[in-house]
Amino acid sequence: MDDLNVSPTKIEDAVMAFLDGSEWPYTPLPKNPDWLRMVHNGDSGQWQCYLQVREQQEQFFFFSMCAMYVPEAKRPAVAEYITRANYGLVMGNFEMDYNDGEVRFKTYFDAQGFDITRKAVEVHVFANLATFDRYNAGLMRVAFGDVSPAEAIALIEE
Amino acid sequence: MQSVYAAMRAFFEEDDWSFTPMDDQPVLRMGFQGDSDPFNCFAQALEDRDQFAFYSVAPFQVPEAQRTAAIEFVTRANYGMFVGNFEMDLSDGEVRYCTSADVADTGMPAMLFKTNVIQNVLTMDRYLAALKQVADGTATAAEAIAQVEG
Repeated sequence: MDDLNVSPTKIEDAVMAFLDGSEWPYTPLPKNPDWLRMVHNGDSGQWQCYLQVREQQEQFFFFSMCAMYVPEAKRPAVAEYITRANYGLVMGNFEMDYNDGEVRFKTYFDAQGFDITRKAVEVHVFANLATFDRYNAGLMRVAFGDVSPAEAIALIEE
Repeated sequence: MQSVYAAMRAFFEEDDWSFTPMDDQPVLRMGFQGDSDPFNCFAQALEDRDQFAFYSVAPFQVPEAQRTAAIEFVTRANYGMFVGNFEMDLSDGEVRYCTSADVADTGMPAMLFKTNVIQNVLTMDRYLAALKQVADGTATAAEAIAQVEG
């Protein structure tokens, strides 16, 4: 049997097993050790990621962070872009902080009542990285170029 | 091994939900009535991806003239949401709330379905009246979100 599938554990243990196994460097946030920060290099560039464990709620979250904050004037266009991107995405969603223009892509796992495995962590992290990578360049075109949200999405999905 | 469809159907039967299976699709339809207006929901099994998804659908479509405001509403609502997200079909103004789970290696316990279903319907119920105000043009997105989130 694939060793990823055995030994269900608490979420933290599953996360650490994934991180140690993948040899992906990470840094706990000094003021919030439930959050780990790491960096990923994808086809569309390099970006920061955050992994959060809410042990008490038995939830795990992974975020890919857009490298740039969206200027205020472009936030409505980016909101349309991420709304178009989110529609029909089963696993994960883009979200934007309207107050500062931060954009991120979230995947999560709610494991109340059962144990999460290292493989489940891996699935949610890799799905997140792949989806963010797919939409990242289009996001930049809308936020910092003259491409409309509909055009940017069409370039990706058609 | 049990299919995702069989496991989700067993959950809804054991949890006493009244539902209607859809012909030719691994989908169950049902209604929910909370504190706000009643709305329809559907549960979907995605066997090839080992995923389960649950949707609550707003009982109205956002008129074209209000879709920009609704985009802002949905975006503001989604930021910081822990489980699930709102999504909107910009071609017809349908708004729905989506929760999902990758069920591989979980054994598909009832609790997996229950948390995704309950958190989903409670979130739609919480935001629905505010979304209606945005769709009707009687509140801005920021005002409507402030009513819900304080």
